[in-house]
Amino acid sequence: MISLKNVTKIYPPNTVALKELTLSIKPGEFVSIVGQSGTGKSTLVKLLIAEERATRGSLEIGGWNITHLSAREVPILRRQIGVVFQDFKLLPQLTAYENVAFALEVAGATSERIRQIVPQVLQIVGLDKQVSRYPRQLSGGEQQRVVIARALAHRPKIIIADEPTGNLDTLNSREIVDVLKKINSFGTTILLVTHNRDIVNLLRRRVIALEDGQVISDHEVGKYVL
Amino acid sequence: MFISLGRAFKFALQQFRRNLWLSIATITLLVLPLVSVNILVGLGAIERAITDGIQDKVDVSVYFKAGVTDEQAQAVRDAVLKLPAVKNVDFVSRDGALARFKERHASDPVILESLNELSENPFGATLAIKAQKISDYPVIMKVLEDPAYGELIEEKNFDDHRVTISRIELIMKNVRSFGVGVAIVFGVIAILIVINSIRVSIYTHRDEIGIMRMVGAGSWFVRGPFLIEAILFSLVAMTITLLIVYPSLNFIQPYLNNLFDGINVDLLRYFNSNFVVIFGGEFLGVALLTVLSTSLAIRRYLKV
Repeated sequence: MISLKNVTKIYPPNTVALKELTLSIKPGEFVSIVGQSGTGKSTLVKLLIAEERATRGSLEIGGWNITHLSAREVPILRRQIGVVFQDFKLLPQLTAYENVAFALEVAGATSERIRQIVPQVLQIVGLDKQVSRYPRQLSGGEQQRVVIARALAHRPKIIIADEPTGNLDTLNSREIVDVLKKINSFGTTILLVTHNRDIVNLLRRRVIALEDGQVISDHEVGKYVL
Repeated sequence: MFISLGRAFKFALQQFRRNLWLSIATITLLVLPLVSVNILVGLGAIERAITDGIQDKVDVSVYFKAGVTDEQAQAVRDAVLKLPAVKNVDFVSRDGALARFKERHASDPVILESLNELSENPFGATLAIKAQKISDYPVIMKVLEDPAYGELIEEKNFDDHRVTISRIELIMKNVRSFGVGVAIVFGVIAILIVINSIRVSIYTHRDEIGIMRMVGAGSWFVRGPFLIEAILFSLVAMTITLLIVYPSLNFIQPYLNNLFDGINVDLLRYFNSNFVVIFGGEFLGVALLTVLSTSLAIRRYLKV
């Protein structure tokens, strides 16, 4: 599903964020990428959503080589990957329903399709009773669940969650992880970038640890070992 | 395609509303050059109406010497008629000139009596020459200065009209130059304001833009609402301009009728009969200006 071969990313003038990184993630896996700040976790996410380009090496997603993606192809890639960030990125003037619908609207989905999909994804994340609430009327955990629902709107094969529990307390963090596990159980590949030790240890799934832009450990049923 | 266009339009309207005061300021600054251009169009129409009106009244009057026969005068008329600059020539024979004089002074017996004292007709034949264009009169005058005609001609007059016309032309030229200058200054200010408005609009919508990019909106879907917003600015500015121009025309039309007594200066009719050309052209011009300014702002400030 996701394959990186000898990927190096150097930010000018000579900051090496990723160094000859090679890893492979199979379809349907739930993988946690862990590492301290500045180890290249966010750079990896940026490369996967084509926000940055690799200096060397090659990246493939579902057999599609995205190393040298053209500007026109970037939106096509992003509709196939759901992205969840730490800082929610919800529009405060839109309700939970409208925030999710927004992702479909800008991609040109028909109104009928929007009416069909939005309630479904909000139900998956357990917010079917709060569809009319604005972000300010929702807790941090609920806001993050709206973000996950939005990420699911395009029915992606992969969800990349970059520190999704970074702004949440323990209880809400666990709720988010439960939602991600639920989505994973439908067959969606989950790439969880985090440095939350408890969450990683609780998951008992594959853990890849990064240090200085390189993989220092990769365990099928791993723990947070840094 | 239509779904995306409709949504881009919806987002453009949202942007317009969310920065309402900035939108109003931008539109106001688009109205100024538009109104200036309409003033120039109006002045052009007035100038044309006046010169046409004067042109209708202008002719070159050629008075032949008393001894010149009607045949000689007609020969001159025939030669003048062959000039491409000449529209028509009215010929008044010697007898005709005498009859006109008598008719004009019918109530003055002293003059009529003194005329009877004369043994022969003191009047020469006359020609009233009309040119195709006002600028053709000097050409005709030059031809009449030919010595072959000069010895037959007692007097010819045109000079007074020429001074009037060149004065009008000069005044209009100066007014037009000033108006063009003002329109250009307003236009440049409008471009800068549109660029700034779109920059602010991009800034206030940076969250939406970021989310649009993240969820896979195409680059034209992100840029489209800003370009539509620019066209909306133009459309509203054009509508306001119409709301200013037509009441103003209705207001000044009676004054124009009094000011140019005898010359038909119907601005309202001129604007009505050229509505599509004038306002359609102005809309296209201002839309082009705002779209270009917006493209500059997008290129400079919007990273897609």
